[in-house]
Amino acid sequence: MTETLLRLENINKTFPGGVHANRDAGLVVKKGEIHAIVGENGAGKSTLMNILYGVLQPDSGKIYLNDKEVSINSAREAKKLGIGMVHQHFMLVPSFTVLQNVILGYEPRQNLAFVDNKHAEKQVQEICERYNLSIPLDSLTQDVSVGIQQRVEIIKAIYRGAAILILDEPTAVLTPFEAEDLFRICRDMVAKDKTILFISHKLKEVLALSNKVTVMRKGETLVTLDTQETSESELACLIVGRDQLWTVGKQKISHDQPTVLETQSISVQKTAGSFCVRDVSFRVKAGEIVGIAGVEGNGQSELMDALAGLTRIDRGDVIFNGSSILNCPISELRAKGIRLIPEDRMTTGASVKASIKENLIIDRNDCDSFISKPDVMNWKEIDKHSRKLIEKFNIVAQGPDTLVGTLSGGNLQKVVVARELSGKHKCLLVLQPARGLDIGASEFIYQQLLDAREAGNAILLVSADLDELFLLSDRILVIYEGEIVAEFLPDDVTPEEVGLYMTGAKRTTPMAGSAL
Amino acid sequence: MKNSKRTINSLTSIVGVFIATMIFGAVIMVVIGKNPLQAYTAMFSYALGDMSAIANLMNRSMALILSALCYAVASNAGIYNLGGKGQIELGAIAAAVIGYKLVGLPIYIHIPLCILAAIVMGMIGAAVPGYLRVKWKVDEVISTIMLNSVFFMFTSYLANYPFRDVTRWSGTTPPVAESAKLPFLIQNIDLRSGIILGFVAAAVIYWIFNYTNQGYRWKMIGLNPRFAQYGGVNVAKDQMKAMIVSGLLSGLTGAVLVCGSNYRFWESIAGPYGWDGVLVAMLAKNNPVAIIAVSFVFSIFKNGALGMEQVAGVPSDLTGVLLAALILFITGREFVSIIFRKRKHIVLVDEKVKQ
Repeated sequence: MTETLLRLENINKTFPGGVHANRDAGLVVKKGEIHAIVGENGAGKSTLMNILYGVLQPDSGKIYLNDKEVSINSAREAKKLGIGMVHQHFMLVPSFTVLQNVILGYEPRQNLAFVDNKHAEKQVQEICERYNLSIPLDSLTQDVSVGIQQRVEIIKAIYRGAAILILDEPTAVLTPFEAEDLFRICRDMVAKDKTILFISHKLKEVLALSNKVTVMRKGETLVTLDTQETSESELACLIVGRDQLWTVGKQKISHDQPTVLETQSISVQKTAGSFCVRDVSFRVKAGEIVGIAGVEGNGQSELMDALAGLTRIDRGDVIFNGSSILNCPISELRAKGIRLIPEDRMTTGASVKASIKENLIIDRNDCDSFISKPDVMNWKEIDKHSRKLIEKFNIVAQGPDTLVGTLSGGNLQKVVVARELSGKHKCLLVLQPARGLDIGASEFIYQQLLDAREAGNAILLVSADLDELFLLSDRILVIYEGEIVAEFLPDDVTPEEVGLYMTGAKRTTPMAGSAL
Repeated sequence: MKNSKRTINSLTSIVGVFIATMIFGAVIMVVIGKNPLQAYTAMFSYALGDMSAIANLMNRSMALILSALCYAVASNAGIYNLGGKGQIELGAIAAAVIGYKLVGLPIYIHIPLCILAAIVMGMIGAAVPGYLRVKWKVDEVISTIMLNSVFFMFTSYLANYPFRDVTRWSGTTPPVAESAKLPFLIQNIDLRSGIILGFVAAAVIYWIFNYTNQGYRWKMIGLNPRFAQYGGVNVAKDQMKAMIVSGLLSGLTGAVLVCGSNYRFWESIAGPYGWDGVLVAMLAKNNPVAIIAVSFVFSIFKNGALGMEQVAGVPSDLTGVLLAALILFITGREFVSIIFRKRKHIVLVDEKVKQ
């Protein structure tokens, strides 16, 4: 049980665009253990696993398997070395039978050309029996449940000879019952000499299932702990981290400011009948930053998109400066001064194949100073305007004609912020403003937001980074499964406490579902 | 300016691609035992050799230019009009009917009437799938392709029943009046002024694309519709406009086919122009000036095919091979420029590091 099976040392990986996804990450996995890897989104968990699985190549670093150094250049090589991966999104052919999916690409042959179905079925049957898994081999994959599909993926990996299984957020798609079943399967597998690595940010599961847990933050592997010797709050604290020092500071707000933005129990539908935002009510005053904390995928993005007019609000009302702005067109919202800094700056916040100047004027392309004769663009004036913004916002670029896609992440974000803050703004909807940015660029963006607050803007800030929220917010709301489950003043609460609410371990407000 | 520089670059590379295609074709001809020199001489003399050949080339290029512009306007705005063929036929029958039913009008009233009728029909033909798209998210790629059949059937019915030329055996309208024929550009070779319309249309579209506010919005929608929507652009409205302008150009193509060279409506008068136009626009990357150049290259190969077969015994199917090679070379050119651009980018990064 104690021999070291896998060792990763000093893995570094930087993506084009400057995101440093892994910094000197290391990992030691012993044979027969269930090893959990936890961390926030963007902490580098998936990158590290993809490097191990050969999908990504590290910039530097070494991988040892059974004390022998190996280089894994493709998923195929990883499979040869006995490493299998079950992705969050299954890679199965829906119109194939379960058996066909399992043996796909590794079919036993007969007479050189034909698939030996009988032999294949026997082999797969054996695996199923050995690990106590039952799957309907002859059903079409599209007809079986998600839980079964996941089992098919697991069996597929074992069939291909995996001794180490990587599960990427395996329970994200499962019902609690299916998750329970998965845990049983995992325990069975390690009992029969498989080793499991699993990525998760649900701490309860990590504690229930794993033997060891490695915490990652900002690309580094902080520490590996024995699961028995740790606790949920210790892990939450490690994941969030509190050792960052920021030079930006903010003044107290005065409490008699008028309310700028108010939502009255708004709900947003994801698909017919299922809501991703449920009965959300809050107020944001002028000169106030309200932070929304939540694990990604709990409805915060949909809430912001809906407030910004990108998607429909299905129920409730939104009041802006005393009048309803429910489902107004975006151009009208922008004219009123409601502006969105989206989380997805590559696809929503900017057009990467367009130039800086084209990006800077998307919201005011028809304003008088940019149009000379009726409908003819005054590119000279636009050029001048762009140069001014490039200077004011410290955007490092050759000039207004530079394609936005060639800029680094920080400069790209500055283009977005420059556009949004150079137009009329009364209310800012900000998502993950500093994700993937280095400290310098982050501070610049923070300072811009605090200046906007000083100028009397109402700011709603969504972030997965609790440091950021505690640093900037005057109030913090916690969103979990589309509902606001708690509200704090940042001075009254610790990040660990907020972490508990974010993962659904605690809630203060009653279930909104009962009011529906 | 940057736009004109880009245009010149793409023009020179189109000439290069043309030469590369000819060399490629020559190799094949040598392999199958034909004389490439003889074949190409024949090709050029059939395509460009005398005035009537040139007239032919002009007419074919004109239809290609207009139908390519039709696709380019829409796809530049991120909406795909593959219904050029059907819309051209709608426009053509409208022009043909106005052209032969009304008699005794002066030419300066009759021609504009024909064109007006044609572009209105073309606009309707494109507006239907456009509206379905922006209103109910019906995939315009499918609806425009399917409407091709609908419009073909419809115009075929009109040409066979209500507006049939009873002196012909089937499927055509009577010839249009003299006053509905476009004025001659060069009288003795039967070259009418349709080609001018092609150039004017290309110039206008070039101007709209590069200098107007509408062109800017179309470009932004085409590059990233989500960003345009987020920036407050009314994507549905602008895409609808693009579709209508696209239909207008289809209708115009139909009118010029009738009033400029055929003088009556035939079943399937749009022939290959609808689809070749899509190809030309894709190869020219929606740049109106490049569309003119690619259209001429395309037409030289197509018109010269007969010559190659008759004189040099090169099967006319080889033209298909040459056009395929042309496409490969043009896409290859893109590949080369991508590699080139990457190199440049790396140099830039180095410079930044030095700073």
